[in-house]
Amino acid sequence: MATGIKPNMAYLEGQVSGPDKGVEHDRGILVSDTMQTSVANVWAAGDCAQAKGFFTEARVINSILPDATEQGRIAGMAMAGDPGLKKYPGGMSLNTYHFFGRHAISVGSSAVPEGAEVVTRFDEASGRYLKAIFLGGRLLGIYGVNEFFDAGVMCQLILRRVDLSAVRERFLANPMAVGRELMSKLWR
Amino acid sequence: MGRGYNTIAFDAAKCDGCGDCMTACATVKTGTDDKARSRIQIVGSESDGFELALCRQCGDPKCVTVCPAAALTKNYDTGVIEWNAAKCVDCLLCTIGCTYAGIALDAGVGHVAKCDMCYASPAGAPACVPACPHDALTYITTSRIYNEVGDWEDLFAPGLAGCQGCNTELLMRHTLRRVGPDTVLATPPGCVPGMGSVGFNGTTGTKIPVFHPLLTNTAAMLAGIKRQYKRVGREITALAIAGDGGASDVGFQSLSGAAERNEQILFMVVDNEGYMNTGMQRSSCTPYGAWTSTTPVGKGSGGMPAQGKTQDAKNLPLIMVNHRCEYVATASTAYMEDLYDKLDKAIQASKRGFAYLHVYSPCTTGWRFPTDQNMEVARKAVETNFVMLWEYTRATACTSRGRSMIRCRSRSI
Ligand SMILES: Cc1cc2nc3c(=O)[nH]c(=O)nc-3n(C[C@H](O)[C@H](O)[C@H](O)COP(=O)(O)OP(=O)(O)OC[C@H]3O[C@@H](n4cnc5c(N)ncnc54)[C@H](O)[C@@H]3O)c2cc1C
Ligand code: SF4
Repeated sequence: MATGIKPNMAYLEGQVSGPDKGVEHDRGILVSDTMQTSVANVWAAGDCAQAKGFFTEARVINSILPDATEQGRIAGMAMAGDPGLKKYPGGMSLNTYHFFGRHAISVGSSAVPEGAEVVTRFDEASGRYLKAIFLGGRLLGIYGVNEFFDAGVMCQLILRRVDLSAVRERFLANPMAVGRELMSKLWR
Repeated sequence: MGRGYNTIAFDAAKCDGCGDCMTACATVKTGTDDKARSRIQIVGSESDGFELALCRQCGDPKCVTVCPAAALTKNYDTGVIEWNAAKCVDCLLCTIGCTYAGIALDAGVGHVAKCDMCYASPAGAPACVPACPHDALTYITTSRIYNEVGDWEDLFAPGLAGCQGCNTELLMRHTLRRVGPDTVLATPPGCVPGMGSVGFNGTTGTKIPVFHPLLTNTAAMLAGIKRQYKRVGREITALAIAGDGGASDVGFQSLSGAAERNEQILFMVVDNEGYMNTGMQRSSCTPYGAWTSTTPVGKGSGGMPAQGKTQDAKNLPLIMVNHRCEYVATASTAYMEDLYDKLDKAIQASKRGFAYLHVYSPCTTGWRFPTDQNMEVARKAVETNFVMLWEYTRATACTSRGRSMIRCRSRSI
């Protein structure tokens, strides 16, 4: 198994100084929250771009498809001067995979900052596992094995910083149904 | 012009969470009655209210953009986002992209599943909607009108000076689009000419012949014009668009006369319940208790409170039925499919004789409600039976939604 991505930055080397300073880069091409590089009229998006993270101000390479398409859309709108452009909210880990006959979903950050609370539950008989990380009433990350919920809905709960205090117990018992309920109430 | 699509509408206030829609969907789509496998998901509870998770068939769908296998495509004819089983690689990225839980893993088969509006079914319409026993789900098909009508020419000039949110302007533009260019329009004093359709400063606001009769003689003048066109052998629709004041008060004698002679006219009345163009005076169509500038509501004078209009509205369409017209109907812009059906019948009937169409038309300015609420007010008027939508032909008498409205009981002596 291997994870991660390493964009090839070699072709940008040697352009980092002087009046014609080239495209600023680190591990990837450094971009603003509208996907603009340090050089006017040059944009970058997707695996090659290093953009703001949702949980950190440091710029990260978030090499997943949903982010690549979102960044691509933002870059395109920025290039066209689209007034409907919304700034990139920051990248977040998101995935769903099958392995050994099981199904896993992961959304958000697995880091546990100070004051955060980790809730897990595991049912041996069904093999269902759930882990959720909360800070205050807000969800930071949610992980499930054989526990189904809608990753897209969870992602919005995190991005919108929805306060889940009032529904927390119900949410942990049935994240799919309660997530859908919140979606329908909050952004239908 | 963009296209409109059919859609499934959900009224949470009517839903009691019975789940019959989910059972219907699961039956049709999976051959089981497992609600968890339904494409439509009702969640929530009695106390908090019920909510809906269902594919929105987005115009700019995120699931389609994230799919690495091009297994999802937006069908621009039907509006449905279609899933192609043969291309899908089961990566589930679409479930991350969608923020509405509109596409989810169907654990029963191990693939994603989503609502396709049952387009490919024999009925061609969603199975969940008719299954709902409480009318909480509706299949909205008015897009058909939008798509069709959008291609017809608007025969009124742009920039007519109707009030903001005016229902009358909407109605007259739809009507003339449908009736078409071979029409002569008569429009007596009221909002229709008032907003400029008859023109000002030597220009006209209408792209067909239009004239501005007196309040009193609209039907008589139009009858003469229609007869002259017939005499010279030209086929036209003689159309009147009049206000309720012009039709039910001073214009009534010529209207009644033309109907009684069965002149070949299509006479449309825009009923906004008063003389709104001249400052909201009462007409005989103003309903009981309504405020107008001549039937105030408030303290009153001489110890008598002012209680609005103290007489009932004249039921003009029913009076027209008593003229045994070719066709009489009431309609509302909140029910466009019904209005178009009735307009089509009225156009046909006007080739044989007198056709009368009475359209209930809320007035943002005169009734003093917010300008974005016109459709809402028009719909509520019908839903509460404040006004009723029905039609009359000589063969069927009065019917509403295809059912007879008149029950005659004869008593044996
Ligand atoms: C094995 C694997 C599994 C993955 N699984 C998942 C997953 O489950 N979920 C998920 O979200 N993401 C997954 N990803 C990541 C996801 O595929 C990428 O994040 C995404 O494809 C990035 O899109 P992109 O357009 O930025 O880059 P790419 O898709 O890599 O596109 C870059 C394009 O640029 C072209 N190119 C490169 N150099 C040049 C040049 N000099 N001139 C012209 N063209 C050039 C390339 O040919 C390529 O077509 C996976 C990636 C891999 C490798
Ligand atoms: S699960 Fe299928 S339809 Fe969904 S994104 Fe993956 S390949 Fe496309």
